Amino acid sequence: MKIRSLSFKLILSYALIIILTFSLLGIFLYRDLKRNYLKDLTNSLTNQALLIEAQISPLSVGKKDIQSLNNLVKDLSAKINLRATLIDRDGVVLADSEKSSQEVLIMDNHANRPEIRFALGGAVGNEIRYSDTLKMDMLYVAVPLSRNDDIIGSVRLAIPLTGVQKMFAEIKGILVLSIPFSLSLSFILSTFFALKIIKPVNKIISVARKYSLGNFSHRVYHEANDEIGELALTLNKMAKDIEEKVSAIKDQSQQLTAVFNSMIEGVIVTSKAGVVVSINQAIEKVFDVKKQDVEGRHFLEAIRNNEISGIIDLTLKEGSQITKEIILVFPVQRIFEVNATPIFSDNSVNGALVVIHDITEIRRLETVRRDFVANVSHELKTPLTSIKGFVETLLEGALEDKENNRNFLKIIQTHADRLDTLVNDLLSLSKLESEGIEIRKSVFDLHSQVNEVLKGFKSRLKDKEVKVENLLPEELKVNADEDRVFQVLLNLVDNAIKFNKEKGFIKVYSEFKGDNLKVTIEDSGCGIPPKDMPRIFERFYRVDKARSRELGGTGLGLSIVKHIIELHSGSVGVESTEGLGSKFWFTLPK
Amino acid sequence: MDNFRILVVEDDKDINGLIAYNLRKNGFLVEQVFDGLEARKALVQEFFPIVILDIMLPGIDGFDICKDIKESIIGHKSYVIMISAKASEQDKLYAHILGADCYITKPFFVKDLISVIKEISALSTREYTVES
Repeated sequence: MKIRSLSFKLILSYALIIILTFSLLGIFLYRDLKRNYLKDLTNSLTNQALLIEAQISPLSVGKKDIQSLNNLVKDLSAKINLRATLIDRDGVVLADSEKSSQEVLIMDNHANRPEIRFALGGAVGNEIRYSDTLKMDMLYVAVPLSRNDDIIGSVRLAIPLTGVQKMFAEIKGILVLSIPFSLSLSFILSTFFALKIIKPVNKIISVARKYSLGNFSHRVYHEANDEIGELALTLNKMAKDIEEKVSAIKDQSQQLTAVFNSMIEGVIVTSKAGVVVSINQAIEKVFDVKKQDVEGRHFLEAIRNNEISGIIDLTLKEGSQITKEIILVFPVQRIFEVNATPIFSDNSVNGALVVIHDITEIRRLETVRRDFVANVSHELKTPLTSIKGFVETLLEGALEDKENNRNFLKIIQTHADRLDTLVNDLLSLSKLESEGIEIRKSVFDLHSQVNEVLKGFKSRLKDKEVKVENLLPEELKVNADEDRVFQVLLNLVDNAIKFNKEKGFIKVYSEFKGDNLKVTIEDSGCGIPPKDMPRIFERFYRVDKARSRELGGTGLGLSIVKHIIELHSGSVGVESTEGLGSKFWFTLPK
Repeated sequence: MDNFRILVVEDDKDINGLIAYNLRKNGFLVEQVFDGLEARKALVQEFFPIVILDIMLPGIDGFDICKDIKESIIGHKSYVIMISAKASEQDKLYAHILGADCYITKPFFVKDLISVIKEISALSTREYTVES
């Protein structure tokens, strides 16, 4: 629209200039030409009239001389090819080149004709007038006819203007005709120029349109040195600057987005009205929502959590930071710490930043720790209760009870031993769990170490008639902490004996799995129910509490095994069939 | 007091034996059980004016049994003495809410336990006398 109007304006202005120029030129030229021509004609007629006057002046001019004067006038008129008329002082026509002497007599008095009036007054008179006699426009020039300073009449010359008028009509025609011609020519030329000017402008417009759509990679190619060239250069420079700035902003925002999305904490940004402006991936995961579904909607509508919504509302209302713990039940129960901070702009709350931190694991660890403390206290107090109680009972008179006193002392001894074992295990465990613990690696023979361990259990094995096979290859060198691996074997073999049946078996064997040595201790004991298997390595976890305690277990043995092996970057595990036996294994990296 | 029976529910057989020995020496009749299930069975079968109850029992825990007794789900309303290694205020409060009459933490003095039981037995004997 604008493009068309600009070229239209250009063309129109060209046309107007041409019309105006031609009209003014034509009018002035035509008028000047006509005036000058008529002036020259009048002068020439005046001169000729004066010549005729000179010839007539000495002659007598009276009514009686009409015949001779008429002949003379006719004669002269024929020579100069003009109509000549001779008029006396009273305006009476004495001779006329176009009339006979008889006709002259009946002609009107000419005294009132303007040119005659001038001439009879002593000046040269002229006038253009339509002649009734000749039925055409005529130029009349009259000079006074004088003798001895007396005006005795007037000589008038007349020329028809038909030729002159025809000539001027032609000039007029040429001028009028040339207007449409030059107009069309100017139209063509102006269109051409307008297009030439507009073409680069169009180019700039199309590039500028792309800029407005955010594509700043285009450049305007216009070499000309004019204003449009200057405009193109400026535009290019501007686009380049914007492109650089946009890319810098993009980089920044990408970095921010990366940080935003890689955050473990969920982040929600809301507006003053509680409408979600932005969320990160952690939020998408926690609430199982999609960014595009949530952003732009009110928090409560988008995420439907009343508690968090309440926190956001309060933060927006009070303009202060709020921290609260909430529990989400769906899809699995998790505990979150919600931290809402108001966003200020110009001293007023303009939105809220909500950070949601999953503290389930922290709480779980706290629970584990609390449970451990509770377990420890329970495990310590139980033997103490027996010791304390039986000592009191003995002192209060049971010493004399021959039937029971030995038995009571034995119970005290058992529980004192149990306390001792428990304290030792707890110390081992706390050492293993303490930070900065070092394992002192050395190369030793595992085969002989197993034999060493078995030697210690000799009497117990004999009592229960359990058959043991050390199937490890001889000279099985391992690089590990010798004392600690000894404890691992001790605990595992101890369990294998404890939970074995009478006349059962124990096998110790190994295999290489890639870079790891896998050692298995197999027994023919009672086995472990499948539901207990995942928790068997937990501290104080026992399949059968009463039986374990009866057998002198603390519930910490496997936990210690796991700790030691994990310190060696190995792993532990168990395979078991309830009622048939278990295979406890551990791996040691070479 | 001859037929005044006390139920001892304690999974540690030594502690159970300790309590039973001392109660018998003081002239009470004692029934010993070692887990929650046995305790329930015993409580369904007969009435015990006093139940000595450990909390951490295999199977059904002491809190559940205490609750059942106090809500008269099993047996009559017995006096419940809880004995536990759990010494926290929360556990004591919980036991109180459930209606336990006494809470003794392990390790305990045998003579304290005995004196508490003697007091209760005196009380409950009076009750029986009044009722009958």
